[in-house]
Amino acid sequence: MNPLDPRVDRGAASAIQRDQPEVPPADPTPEERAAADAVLARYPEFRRDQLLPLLHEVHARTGWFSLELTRYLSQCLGVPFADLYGVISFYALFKTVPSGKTVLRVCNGLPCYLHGAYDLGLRVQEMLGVGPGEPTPDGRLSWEWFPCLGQCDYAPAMLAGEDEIRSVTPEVLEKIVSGGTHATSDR
Amino acid sequence: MLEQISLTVDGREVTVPAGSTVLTAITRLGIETPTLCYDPGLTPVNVCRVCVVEMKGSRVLVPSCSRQAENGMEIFTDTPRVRHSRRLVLELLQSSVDTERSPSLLQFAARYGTQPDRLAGATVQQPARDSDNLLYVRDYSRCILCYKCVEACGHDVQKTFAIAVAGRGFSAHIDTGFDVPLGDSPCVYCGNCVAVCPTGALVGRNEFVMRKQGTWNEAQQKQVDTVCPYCGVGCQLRLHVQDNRIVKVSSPRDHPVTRGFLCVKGRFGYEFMHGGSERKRRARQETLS
Amino acid sequence: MQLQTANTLLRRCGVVDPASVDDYEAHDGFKGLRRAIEMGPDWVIEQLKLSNLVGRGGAAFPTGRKWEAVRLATGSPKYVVLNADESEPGTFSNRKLLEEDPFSSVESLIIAGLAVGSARALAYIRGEYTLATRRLAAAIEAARARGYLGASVLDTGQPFEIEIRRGGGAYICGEETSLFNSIEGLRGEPRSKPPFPVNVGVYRKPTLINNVETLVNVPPILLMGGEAYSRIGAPGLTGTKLFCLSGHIARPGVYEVPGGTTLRQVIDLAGGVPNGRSLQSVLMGGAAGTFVPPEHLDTPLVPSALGPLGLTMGSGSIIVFDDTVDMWEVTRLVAEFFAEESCGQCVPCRVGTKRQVEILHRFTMGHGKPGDAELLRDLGVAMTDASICGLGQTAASAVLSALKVFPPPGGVHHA
Repeated sequence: MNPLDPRVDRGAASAIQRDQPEVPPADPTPEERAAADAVLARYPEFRRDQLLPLLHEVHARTGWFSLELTRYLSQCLGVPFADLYGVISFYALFKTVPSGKTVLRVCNGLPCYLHGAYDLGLRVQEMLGVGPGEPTPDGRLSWEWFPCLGQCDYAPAMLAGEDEIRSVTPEVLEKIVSGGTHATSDR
Repeated sequence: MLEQISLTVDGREVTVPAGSTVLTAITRLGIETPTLCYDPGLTPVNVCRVCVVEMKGSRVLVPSCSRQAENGMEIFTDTPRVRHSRRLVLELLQSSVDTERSPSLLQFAARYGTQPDRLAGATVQQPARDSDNLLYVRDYSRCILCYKCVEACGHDVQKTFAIAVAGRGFSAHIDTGFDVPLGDSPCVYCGNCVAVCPTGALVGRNEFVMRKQGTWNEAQQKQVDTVCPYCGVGCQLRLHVQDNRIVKVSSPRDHPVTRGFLCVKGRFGYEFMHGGSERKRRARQETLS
Repeated sequence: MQLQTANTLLRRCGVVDPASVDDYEAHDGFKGLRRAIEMGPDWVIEQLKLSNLVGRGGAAFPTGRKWEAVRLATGSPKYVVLNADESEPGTFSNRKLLEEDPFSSVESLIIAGLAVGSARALAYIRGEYTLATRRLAAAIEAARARGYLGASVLDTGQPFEIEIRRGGGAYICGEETSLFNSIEGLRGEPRSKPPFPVNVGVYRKPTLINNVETLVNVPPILLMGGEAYSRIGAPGLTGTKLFCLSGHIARPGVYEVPGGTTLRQVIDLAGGVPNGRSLQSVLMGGAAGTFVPPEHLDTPLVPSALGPLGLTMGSGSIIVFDDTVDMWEVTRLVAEFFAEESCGQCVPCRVGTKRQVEILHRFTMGHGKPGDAELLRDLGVAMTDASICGLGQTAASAVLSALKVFPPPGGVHHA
């Protein structure tokens, strides 16, 4: 779908985006473009209230929102660039810097804190060899602290990508880091 | 005829048209209320919380700038709770933001006896963004996040949407999106954000440079009203003239045509008055900075 | 008083197959909906009013009144919103209900829609609850296949659809107006109230928004009758309430007890403090709650008993701390949580939560300055009085209660 298709009326904001040729184009990578296009195809009559579901889908494929990807989405959706960045930067699950393909989110909520969350975080850091937020050299993993995940009856807990991991023991952690999952979700 | 609403403020009865805010009622009685994020020409966001008042029946204080007046309301503008919250709000701002260029904020601070040093901590101090365009400067060390610039650039006035609030919590800030330079944004340099900024975080380049050099002298400035020469709308311009040079252009906020809002030509297109070519103009800019 | 445990809200959890409509129906599933259809919306709302059910998310607003207000509101279309953002630390009851008994939410939403005149529900689930989201999505599909959802609910001619919306990772989006803004594709910043959601909600239309736990009380109320429900529990908290026990507790989990049960009884039900240690303090109501000292453990969990002591039940989160814990460090962690989650709109919360952390940091590191306690109190009062929303209004609650309940950290003036 031509992102600047004039038949789809997206309002004044998108007109500004279209009529400013001097705004330098910043091209997404071929992978980013493909991921975005695949998701955009599922929202042929985009409304503003579909933004969060759409962003979730794009983020699941790309792992983060780069400037270029955000610019591309802004043009395709008719959502002003600054506005779109404002939304993305608000939500903690959306990243605007490159992360590992799988992000390990170690819960540091109070019940997990009482059940060794800090030791768990240190262990994750040791095993990955990187600090919070940095991807591992092979790009596979990164980790960060995250507020209460709501798994307090199974503390300490973490998220591995989208999978909720309960009662994290060193063995469970080992398995996750080496590429397996010990997810709670139905597969 | 519009329905009239009756309420009491500090024990005094006042009547206002339906749809008025509590602030309107308070003002009608001649009581001064501090405001920072309120602007009659913009949608109230009630984020500064300095206009809060006590209202009978409300557990928390109520923002007078946006609360609709209703019959029988009992409003109190000068109770210990009100004074406490107003003082704290001002202290929190003074301790985290450079508020020196906001005369109204400083005046309120004096009135409520703020002692910002006791709340010293992290600030939003940062270098001014003064080199991504020739017309105005974004000095976010002075930003109190009143949202006025976003509203002026966005829904309420210009509909350009070049800036928005980004981030969350204490790191929430005004951003063009990934902090791209203004030239990479849809900004049309209308300067309407500058016109509404209450703290000098957004300021014309002339003013920024002259203040830095110590040559800005408001007491010596004349204000000359004229009509913009550029197009058929005929916006009212208020020229701020110092030493026979225009140093700034504004438009009266209560003007029926402009409401204080101009375009890039009216607001910044005055250098031709001082003669000289583009080259000379640039040379002048360089000597100023 | 002998503790009465209860098993109404949790009766299917761990018993039924969460993917099976048949299993749900075999355990009274959709009987409440059938009764609602048979008796009509006015009767449904009347039962809720008679039950004295109050909201379970923390605000405790009378549910019957809320449903009635939406029914009477002018404006269309109307919406029903399920608040499953559940991010209050120590709270996981919504998660359990959605994972193990998802059809109960589906049924309750349909009842709500028919009662208030709405054809569309939006279920807003926090983005981190992957399993709960999957289970609810599957239940919605299965229910639709059986005619419980779609163009005509159980051939009544009335349509109803439920759409899931995932949160993006923001505690503030549990606040109802933030939740609406988030659904609308905006930053999850709260709006000012008034106007209230019953008149101006999602898409600025009349909206009924309820917590998951509140909603799943509805079918049992309709089946036993509102009046019978009101005789369970205690005035101010009729029926049963789910409490989430975690921290230093032998059997962490969700416990269902009638209103009026004491805090000590619930803690004992969960096995008490393990490892031979003693209970030092309880944080009740999550990060937005207050610290309960041991001498108040026998307080019945009803607003009328908790209020005068400055305590709050909130979402039902109960985090237990044994005597090994540094409670000022815990207090600082609570403050850090709020600084992280503040949306940043208003000055008292944006800057206030930051200052709270800074002051507590030096407080707990032993370089507290004289007057720090008073500073925390001043700050707390302003945040409580002048913030836009419930986050800012409760961000100082735990800190202010800590100042009352815990001895000062070493070397700090408590003036």
